Amino acid sequence: MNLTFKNALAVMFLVFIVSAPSITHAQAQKDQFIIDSGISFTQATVTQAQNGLVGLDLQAYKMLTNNISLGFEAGYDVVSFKKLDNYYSRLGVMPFIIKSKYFVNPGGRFQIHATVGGGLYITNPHLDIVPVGDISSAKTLYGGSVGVGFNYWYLLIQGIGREFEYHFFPTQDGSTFSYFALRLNFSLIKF
Amino acid sequence: MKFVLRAGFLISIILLITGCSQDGDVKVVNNCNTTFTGELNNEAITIDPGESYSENVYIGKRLVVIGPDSYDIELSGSAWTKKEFSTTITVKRNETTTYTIDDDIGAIKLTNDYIKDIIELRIKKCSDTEYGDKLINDSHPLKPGKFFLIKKNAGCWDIYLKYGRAETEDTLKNIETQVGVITEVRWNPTTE
Repeated sequence: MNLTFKNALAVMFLVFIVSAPSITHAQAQKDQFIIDSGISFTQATVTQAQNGLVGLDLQAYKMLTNNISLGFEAGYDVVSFKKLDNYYSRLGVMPFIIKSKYFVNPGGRFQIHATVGGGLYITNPHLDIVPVGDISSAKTLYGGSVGVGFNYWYLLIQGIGREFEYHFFPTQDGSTFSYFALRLNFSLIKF
Repeated sequence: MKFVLRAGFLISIILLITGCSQDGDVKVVNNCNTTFTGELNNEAITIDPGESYSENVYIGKRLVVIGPDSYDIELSGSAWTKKEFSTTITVKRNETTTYTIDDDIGAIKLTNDYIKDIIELRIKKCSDTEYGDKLINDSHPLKPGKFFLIKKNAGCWDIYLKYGRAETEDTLKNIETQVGVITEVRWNPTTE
């Protein structure tokens, strides 16, 4: 089953239902900035996807309120990778998306967040003859993402975190391409 | 805090494990009376009458409920008693998808038992008055001892042919064909 946009919206809705109940003060306060640099395991969840590999991403946000921030994410994710004889068959995806992050602070140095985003996805395939999830050539496509994660602020302005983010975008053949990123973030708050 | 970190680590491991490969099997059964030759998922295959061919098909990666649960592959080919065809088979994960090939046509197997080349061959229904286009011409004659296969629907057929340098004419009348049956015709004008 390829995930349809209807199902993706349902996932997005669930993420917000889970994260909505508590409104408390986040670590970063209104008008401050947060920068996340992350390394992730990225895996396509489509037909003919091989093992995923690694993604490198940079995110930056401005806190609009004590709980909500707005920013962007840019990166390069290798979502399918296979070594053939003398060739590394691989599919890279470059997300350039606007994201909003909602923070929940259960107390202490621990912080939970949910994200939603949308923007451009540039595919960068170096594949053998079989397309991965209908992607066989470089394309610029529009899509979105939802995610959940947490941060642990071990210093006042420095933290580490884990984040699960699910990306999806329609291909030109009408199917939906999707992949997830399981990310380790290093975060900084700029006053 | 330790609990949360452990839980996070555990969830990560679960996600990695459950982002697992999906596959299924496809089984093509040749119910035709003749050998099937063609391609399955871009690989050449040959299946004898009554036999089957099975292949494991990789579908893709899936995360819990997200991801593909089926994959479309192409099957194409023909047999002497099966018209050329191409179809899409949807292979479902963890299942064996069976596709059966059945006879849908008959055939006349015309063997040149004479010592001269057949340089022209046409065919028509017994009820028709005109013969059809040339199936054999003098640039690709049917040599002595060789055969030519003419796939035809069930019915009655007449064959017109020319042979030798003198372009001598001959006809073969009332050849009956049935779906799934090869009708053998050994042509030799000296024994007619």
